[in-house]
Amino acid sequence: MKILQRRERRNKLEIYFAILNSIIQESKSVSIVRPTRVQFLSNLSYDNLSKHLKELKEKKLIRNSEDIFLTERGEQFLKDYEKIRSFSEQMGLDYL
Amino acid sequence: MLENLINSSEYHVLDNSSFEPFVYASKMISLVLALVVVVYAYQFYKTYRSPVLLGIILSFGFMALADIFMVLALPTLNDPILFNLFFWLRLFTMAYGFTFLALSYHHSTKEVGKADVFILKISALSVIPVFAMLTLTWFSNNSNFPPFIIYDKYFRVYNICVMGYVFIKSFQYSISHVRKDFIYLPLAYGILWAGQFSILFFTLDGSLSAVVVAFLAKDVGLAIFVIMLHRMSKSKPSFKEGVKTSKGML
Repeated sequence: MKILQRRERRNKLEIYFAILNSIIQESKSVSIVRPTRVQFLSNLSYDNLSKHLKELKEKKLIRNSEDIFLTERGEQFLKDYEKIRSFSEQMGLDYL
Repeated sequence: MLENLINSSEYHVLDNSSFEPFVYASKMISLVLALVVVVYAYQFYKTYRSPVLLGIILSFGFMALADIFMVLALPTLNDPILFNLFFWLRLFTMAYGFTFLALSYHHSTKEVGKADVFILKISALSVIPVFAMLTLTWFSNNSNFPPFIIYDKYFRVYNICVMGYVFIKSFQYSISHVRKDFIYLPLAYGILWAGQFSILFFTLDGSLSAVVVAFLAKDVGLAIFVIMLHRMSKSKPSFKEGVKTSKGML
């Protein structure tokens, strides 16, 4: 009998990290980071990715013109990600 | 009338030269500890503008502010008008601090949507009309407020209810995330909650031991938070990677 295992739902913090991390990984190999590649690497549907990219832009974590760039704040987010996640765990906050 | 009311109330125990240094020390400790939590939360808020993080900053910030008003109130024990004013401010800031804490925990159990952000923003903005009303009452009532002692107990009961909610939320979180160190969180909130019970007992019977326990509880509760956060900052490595930014490769 086939057992279907449901993946644990990622929260927004984890999704943001996945997207920003994908942008870095992609920027190492190509000069222009395309949303479709980020979508593939971060394992999101295109609609979801568009929604989150809009939010990331509003939060000034990325700059999105022809291709996608991390802003300084986005870079800082990646550096602080583990700490932010750890802070939310220590404070008992499921979603930030 | 106000002077008589304060002198005849439980608060006359604060007018005790041997007790005063303890109050100052205890309040300074809790002020510093609350500010440490604010600094921790703020450094993450700078990067990740989350309304829940803002709620945590505001809640611990208001707790620190309440300690400042307590420290300011002590030398004014012989000036009932100022003492009354500082205690009103203390009651409001403390209640606000706990309210923001409860709101943050309420909204942290699900993904924060636009409606939740709106509620948190409205709560934060409500500080302005409340303090405007306080100022208006202060001026329209000849630089005076109704005696805080009459309403003190209601604030304490409110704080107990709100902190009870926060404690339950933190306890549920610890149960759902089975890890040894998660016990510290409900322990810290439990101690803060117990402190509110103790201060309520003080307002009812004026016992000195109740107020000592209440002040110590706040210090110990906040100290647990700071120890937790200090251990966290020591244990977790930061993400290090070559990052391409709009300014080029770093």
